[in-house]
Amino acid sequence: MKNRNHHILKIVLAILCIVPPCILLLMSFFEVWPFPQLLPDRFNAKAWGYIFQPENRVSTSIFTSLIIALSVACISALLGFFTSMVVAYHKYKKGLLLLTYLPFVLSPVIFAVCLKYYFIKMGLIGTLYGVILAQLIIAYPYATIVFTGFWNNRMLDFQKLALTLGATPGYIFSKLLVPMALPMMLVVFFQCFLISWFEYGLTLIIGFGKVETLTLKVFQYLGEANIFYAALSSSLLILPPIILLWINKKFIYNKTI
Amino acid sequence: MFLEVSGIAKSFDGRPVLQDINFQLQHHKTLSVLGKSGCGKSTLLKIIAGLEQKDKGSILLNEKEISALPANERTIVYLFQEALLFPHLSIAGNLAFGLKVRKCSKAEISEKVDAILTQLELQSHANKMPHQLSGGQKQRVAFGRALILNPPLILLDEPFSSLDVETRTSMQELYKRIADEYKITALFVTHDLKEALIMGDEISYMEKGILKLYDSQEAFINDARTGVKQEIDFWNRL
Amino acid sequence: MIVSRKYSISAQGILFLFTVLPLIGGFGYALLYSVGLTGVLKTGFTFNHWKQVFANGNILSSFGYSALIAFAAIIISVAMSMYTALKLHRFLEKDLLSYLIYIPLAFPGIVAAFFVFQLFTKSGIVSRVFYKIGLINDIQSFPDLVNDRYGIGIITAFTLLIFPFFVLLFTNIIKNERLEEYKLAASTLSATPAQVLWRVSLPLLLRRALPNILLYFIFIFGAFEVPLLLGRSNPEMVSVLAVRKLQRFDLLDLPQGYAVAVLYSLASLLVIYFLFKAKNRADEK
Repeated sequence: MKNRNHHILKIVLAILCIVPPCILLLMSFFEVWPFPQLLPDRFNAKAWGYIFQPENRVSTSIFTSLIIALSVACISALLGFFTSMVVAYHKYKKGLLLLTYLPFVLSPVIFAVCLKYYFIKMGLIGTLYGVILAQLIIAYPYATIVFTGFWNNRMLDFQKLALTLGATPGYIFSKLLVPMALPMMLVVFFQCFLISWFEYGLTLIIGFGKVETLTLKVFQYLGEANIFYAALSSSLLILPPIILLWINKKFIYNKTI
Repeated sequence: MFLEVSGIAKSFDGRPVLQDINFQLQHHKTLSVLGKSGCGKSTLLKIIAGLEQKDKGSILLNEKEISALPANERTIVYLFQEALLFPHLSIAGNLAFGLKVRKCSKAEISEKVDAILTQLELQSHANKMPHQLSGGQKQRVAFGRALILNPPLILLDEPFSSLDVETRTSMQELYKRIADEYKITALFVTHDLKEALIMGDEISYMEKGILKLYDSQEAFINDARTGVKQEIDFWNRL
Repeated sequence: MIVSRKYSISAQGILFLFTVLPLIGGFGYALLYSVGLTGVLKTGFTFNHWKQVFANGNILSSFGYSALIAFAAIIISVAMSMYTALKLHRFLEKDLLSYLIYIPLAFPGIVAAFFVFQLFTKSGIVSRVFYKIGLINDIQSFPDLVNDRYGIGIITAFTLLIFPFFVLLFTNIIKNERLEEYKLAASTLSATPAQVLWRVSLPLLLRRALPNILLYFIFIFGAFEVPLLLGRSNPEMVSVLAVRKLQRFDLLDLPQGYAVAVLYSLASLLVIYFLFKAKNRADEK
């Protein structure tokens, strides 16, 4: 009896996971959906053809999102790794960590409107660099927080041991710490990539609508009440993350705080 | 005298951990240090290795003061309780680590690694990764990683305490055999009474930051603090 | 690691540049604007704007509304995910399910909101199903589930978003804290299954998960995209309210908008403070 319950629950959960992306993908292949039909009409791939025409700027938006996300991910992961080492062994570790939490936790949109003035003054509003910088402000603290978990007592002992074996701090860093941190670096890279890839509000405000990422495109089509294009761009939006998350799972570290 | 430690004192946050440590160790001998947890024995070893800074005192290795030297220049290897094998390197890679640091040639590394593997009876495990080995095997590799460098002094901080009884006994035998062959000079710290008596050519007892060296095993046994008498009485009463 | 002084200083410098500076800069600017000390229409120091914020019922109810939505979404998700994790944690560690559960994590707020919209809007999927099986007779009879007063659509979207996170979190906790062993120990002390659940499993899971729960509370409280799509103009959630006031052309709204931003930040800071205390307590085993 218990096993039967488990079975039902498993199936329900599996359905909950698979159905939504399938529905979205499916919707991108239709043109109209008159009420009260259960399924939409006119199955074709016209939407896909249309949306990739250059004047619709969907391909450019994918490219833009990609550039921004890759930059943010790389820089956050590297900077986060460097700063976390200092934070983890610092006297005021707890205080520094609290500070690092704040930009990550606060609503990116509200942060963006507060900082907009400075971005205008620096001439970065509406530019790609501006958006990258703004996203770094929320992704880099996250990277630092995650990496701080790497520098535990065991890691310290590894370093001490290596010292007595004759290795210099520099050698220890490049031949020991970096290789041992590599799995975590990949995880942080992926997660910062996702933070950037999914960001809408902050990109809208700092990018001033001029930096068009894929998320902006989804919103645009939703605003135009074109649910089929919206479904299509949504599918495009979630596809890379699904792939990344599956790869991420192989290097799964504790993803929580 | 190979190792001369005098007047070592250390406090943490105002709390004295080592009070006035004085002892000497001859070349090619192992000194056992028996002590309960928290008595400061790890701190003492770390100070000698250069991983902690002392407040007072001097450390002479081969008649040279080494207190000012950084840990990586003291040629003293410190072995932790946990084997701490580098997870991203194979067993052979772990063993070769110290040699690679010293930029030895590939041929020399290969030769020495093979020799150590044979000594420690780990030949079949050379290309395995640390997580594939048992606790005792890992400790052997950790030991080999130090031995391969032929360091003038090895500090062992309760290296066998996390192993089960059988493995511990075989490791103790292994150590004694190798210590003899390689003529190792070492400090062996433990909280186990029997292990202290077995492993050391000389024996000492540490309590509340003070170290007492004994001239002979009889002196050690007769001192009530070490607990030997209690053990003997226990078995006699049974 | 005893890092070189140069390294330590430059690392702290970067930290300062990217965290402290924007925080102080942003918060400071918003604060100054809200009291009239800066901005296009600066009038000199005044509490007027703040008085208006507190007098304006809409703004205060917006904070209350956001908090309620966050509570509702958290309670539902945590309950559902705890149930799922407790029942299925064995399958969630390996098996196909362990991969499937990652799919919803790929959904950002916008897509989840869009999906819920497609489900619950009057011309949406659920409505069509109801029509098909005869529960409703025309499109208007379908209840308002999106852009509605109770925020049903919003709550659903948030629940869908955070449910997989918590399932993974609880599964992790069950594994790392060896909950199964505790449960076994409790039952050998003749505890009933219900007692095991309420006295062992739930307290342990909740205590370990509390930092994350508070974190997601703040996330939902300050969320933007979901309420933008699925909410209505009154009441609206805090981020939407703030952005609306700050992006409009009515310059007189700006100081109030910044006041809302300041208020929001202070509220979040409070919750973060509790988060940290909970985290420190959870870390001390």
